[in-house]
Amino acid sequence: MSTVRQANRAASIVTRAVKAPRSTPVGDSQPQTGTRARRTVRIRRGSGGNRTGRRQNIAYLFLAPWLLGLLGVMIGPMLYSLYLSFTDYDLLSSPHWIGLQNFTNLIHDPQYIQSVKVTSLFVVVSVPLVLVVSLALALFLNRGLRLLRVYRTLFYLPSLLGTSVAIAVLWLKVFGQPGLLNDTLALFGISHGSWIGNPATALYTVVVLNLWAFGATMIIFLAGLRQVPREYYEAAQIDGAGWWNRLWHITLPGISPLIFFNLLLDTVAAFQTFTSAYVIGGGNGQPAGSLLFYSVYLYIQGFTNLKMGYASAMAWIMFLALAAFAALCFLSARFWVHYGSER
Amino acid sequence: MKSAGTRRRRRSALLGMTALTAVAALATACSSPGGGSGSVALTKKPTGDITYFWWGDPTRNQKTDAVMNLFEKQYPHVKVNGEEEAFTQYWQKVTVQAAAHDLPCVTQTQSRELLTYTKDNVFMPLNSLISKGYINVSGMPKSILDSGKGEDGQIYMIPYGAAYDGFAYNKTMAQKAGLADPPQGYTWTWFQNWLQQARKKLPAGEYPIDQNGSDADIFISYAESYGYSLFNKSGQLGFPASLLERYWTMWVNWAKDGIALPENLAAQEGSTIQQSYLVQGKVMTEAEPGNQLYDGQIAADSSHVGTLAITTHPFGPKGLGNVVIPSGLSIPASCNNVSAAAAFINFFTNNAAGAKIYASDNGAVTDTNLLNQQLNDPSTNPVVKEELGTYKFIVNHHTPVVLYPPGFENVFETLYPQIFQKVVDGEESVNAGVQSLFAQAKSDLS
Amino acid sequence: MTGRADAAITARRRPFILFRGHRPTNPALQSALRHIVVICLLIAILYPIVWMIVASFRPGEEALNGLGLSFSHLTISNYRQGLNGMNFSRFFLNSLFLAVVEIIGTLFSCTLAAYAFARLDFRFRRVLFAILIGALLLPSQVLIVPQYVIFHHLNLVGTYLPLILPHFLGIDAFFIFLNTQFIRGLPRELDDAARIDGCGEIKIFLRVVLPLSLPAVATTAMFMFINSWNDLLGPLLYLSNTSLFTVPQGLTTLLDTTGQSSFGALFAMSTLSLIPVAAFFFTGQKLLVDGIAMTGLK
Repeated sequence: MSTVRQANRAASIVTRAVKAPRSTPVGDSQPQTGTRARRTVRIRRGSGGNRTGRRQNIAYLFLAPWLLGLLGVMIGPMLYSLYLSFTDYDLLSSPHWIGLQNFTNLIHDPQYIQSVKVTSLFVVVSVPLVLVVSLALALFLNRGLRLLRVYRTLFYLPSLLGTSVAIAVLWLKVFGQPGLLNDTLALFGISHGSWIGNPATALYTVVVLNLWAFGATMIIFLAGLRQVPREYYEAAQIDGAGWWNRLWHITLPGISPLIFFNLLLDTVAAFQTFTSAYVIGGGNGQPAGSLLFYSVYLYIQGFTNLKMGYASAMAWIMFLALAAFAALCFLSARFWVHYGSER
Repeated sequence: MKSAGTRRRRRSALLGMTALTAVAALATACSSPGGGSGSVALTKKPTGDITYFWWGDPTRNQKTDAVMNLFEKQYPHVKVNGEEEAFTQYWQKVTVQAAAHDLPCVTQTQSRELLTYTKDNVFMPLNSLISKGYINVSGMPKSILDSGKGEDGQIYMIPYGAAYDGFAYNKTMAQKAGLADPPQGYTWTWFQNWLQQARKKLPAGEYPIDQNGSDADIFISYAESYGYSLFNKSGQLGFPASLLERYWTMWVNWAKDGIALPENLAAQEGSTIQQSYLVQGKVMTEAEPGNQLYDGQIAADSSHVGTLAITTHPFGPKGLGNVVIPSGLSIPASCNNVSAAAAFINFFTNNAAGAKIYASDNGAVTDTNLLNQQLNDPSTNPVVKEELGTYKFIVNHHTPVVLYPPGFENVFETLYPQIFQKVVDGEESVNAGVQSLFAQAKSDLS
Repeated sequence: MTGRADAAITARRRPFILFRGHRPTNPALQSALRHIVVICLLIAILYPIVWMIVASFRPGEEALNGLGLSFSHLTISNYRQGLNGMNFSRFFLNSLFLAVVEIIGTLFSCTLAAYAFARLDFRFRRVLFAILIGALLLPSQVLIVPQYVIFHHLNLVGTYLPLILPHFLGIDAFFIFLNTQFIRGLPRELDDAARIDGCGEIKIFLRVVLPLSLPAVATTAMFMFINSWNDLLGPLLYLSNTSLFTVPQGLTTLLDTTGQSSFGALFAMSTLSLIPVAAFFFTGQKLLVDGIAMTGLK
């Protein structure tokens, strides 16, 4: 218990320290910022050379488990899979080098193009939807409702089932014909066929599934909303700002680091969607290839067709695309993400 | 000092990385075959441990355990460890294990997947084990045994359960509609007629047949019944585009005429037998594997839709087209207890008591004597008898052997249904769809 | 507030005063309305789960039937079948064991690495951090085969070690990232005070930073528990002995396309599988929320 209080106290110190605008001069009455304290300490210590050297060794000691894992279980396989993407490899005989042929084949592969289209559409629709809905719900729940703990857990529950084998059956019950959605629509006199069986709408059932499992994103936003200083809202209320102004000028900038965090990670996860698409799409992207996600096609080529070189090439293209996206995010962050300082 | 240390560190980091990459590369390259199989002498009194890896549902797993226990009673010095997975997960695991040359001594395989895995000595040829009498296949029909052969003509799999795809139908529903059962030897024309009559007589909401046009297994029978093989000797498509066009047009017309269930309902159909429309009483006929009839009837009983039966796919101008898809047992080249593996395979395929317990769970038992025993045994479940009877009929005709080349999975499990679904939805013409399939198959099957 | 912003807000003030006058001022009514909206949303969102729970109490053959919540014929036969007949009580214990050990491993490697990234200055820090982010981006399917080969050569296949070891080796880049961000937000004064007192880095880590990182540690533990509990691919590849299977693996054996699927047992065991994670989440929420809050802000 005491450590939590300690942590909270530490956190509030941080928040206050960090809130101090950088432009105003740091007077003696201000709490000591980190840099000042560090500088003082360094003078006390004497020659910095030795200490920094030892600190470096210690750093690698701390990093040792991760580095070992990185080299052994990550980088080794990563480099090997990069090598494989330039080979023809059926997993059973040795790989043999074919240069860029996998990549040129991919460009002319209609199924590959289909998988890129399906996945891109999914990401473009699903990620903003999840972000907006999670944020809206987080804002709604942030009013200090009683039973908040219960509600939070209940909203989080679906994301625990998202990758389960049971989901295919459940989703069919909701979006199939007969299904819950159609029965509800029938109450309003609207009749519709199967949503899952129709190639035009099947993808959106997966979008809804992704949205249904929005719990984690919402929890993160809820947490972030707590941290936006109340003083800002109080000041805004005094000045008579309405809810939209408060949202746009205080809330969103205040939680922009978390929006950034969620945007990056949710997009990466959306591009890599596998289990739900595989399970709902019957393992082959049906109906009519409308659920042929990138990872699903990668899996089919690599593990069912035993064209591991081809699959590795696909994986590396995805990796490069995601790296570019992440770089873009980080670069643009400068313009819209505010780490704790005032707007 | 600092710079030297960093340089040293950087160098060792690089070395470490190169070393590990090399290890990984070597691991796959050097995990070449050639386990201890050649050096250990074969014996008819094996000892030691082996592992048997199979796919199945909990019922089959129990039956398999019982058979394994029987085997251990007869060979008290051998212990059999059992490993099982559901079908989809099974192949995922076999793939990875095959890559690492780490397959269990007795691995279950299927004729469809065989050619994909008989490369590079993953499995060992079993001809010498057969000729030396370690595995007895004398009771097996030649056509069944041939399905276990690899490209080089050697036997890599001993079939123990022969599955086939047929048309299962609801006898009760047909009777209510005043329709006769399909006779043995019925043709595609007769079948079309029968379905058209059903369309007129079945109540609304019940369809004569499920939309099975995207099921490539039926097309295999269609092609064979017209005298064409799915694949030719060089592993490319062995039938003309016009044949597939005719076939798809048939299904598209059935969809238009309301004979076949609408596609968007068929596309959402669950993959287990309990979720099939046949068992729910929505369709009169549906394509099903023979050995699922038993489970289907159980489900049908609980929803009270009637009695199910199964028959072959229709005959064509060249006769019966049905192919048989046996599952069997193989021994990987890396196995270190071939004697025990051979003894187990022999037992599983030939032992009468074991076969009775297993009751043709994974397809009809391949030994002809055992098959007849099960057919004549009064205690055999009548549904199983029905399935076995149809199997016997198929195997008494000359059943062709299909050699599935590697790469067929994507063409027939993913592409074929994908293109057909577009065609039946009207998004693509039959002609364009068939051309598209041929074009992609050419590159995939090469 | 600068003068310009002041003026802007004042200018917009008038219409909002009008609006403010019409807003219902009864807090109890507002609160009740909020509860109603939330409950309606929850009903819609949770219906599939509720359906599954009710279906799990129906006899096996009827499990799939219908869309409604029929409460006739309730039975716990599916639970009995799953736990005893199909060995799920064993699977639950296995999953629990694996989860606990994996959490320990993750906390060990991730907090250590996070401390280094957040507090220590060393060459290649930026490069290694970029590599850390990069590690999040590669699709896992491609690493499966090389990783399997490595463990095969170490003779570890068939044991829990291929599942546990990577976590002790910091394979969860996400948690390193999370903890790094959190520690960055902690004030350096306490560290520096300890350093002045002569503490080495390790002592500072153990005595100062780690206790303060409890929210992040709790967040890591919670998410790691969920990941481990739901992981299917790892156990599928490395575990062959049925008595070692985990719960998700066990669930796949219930749905077989070549034979009889036990939907009743599937629903029952899926329901049971929800309980530990939900309970864990419910009790640890506050720490989770605090933990996440700190990580975003610096």
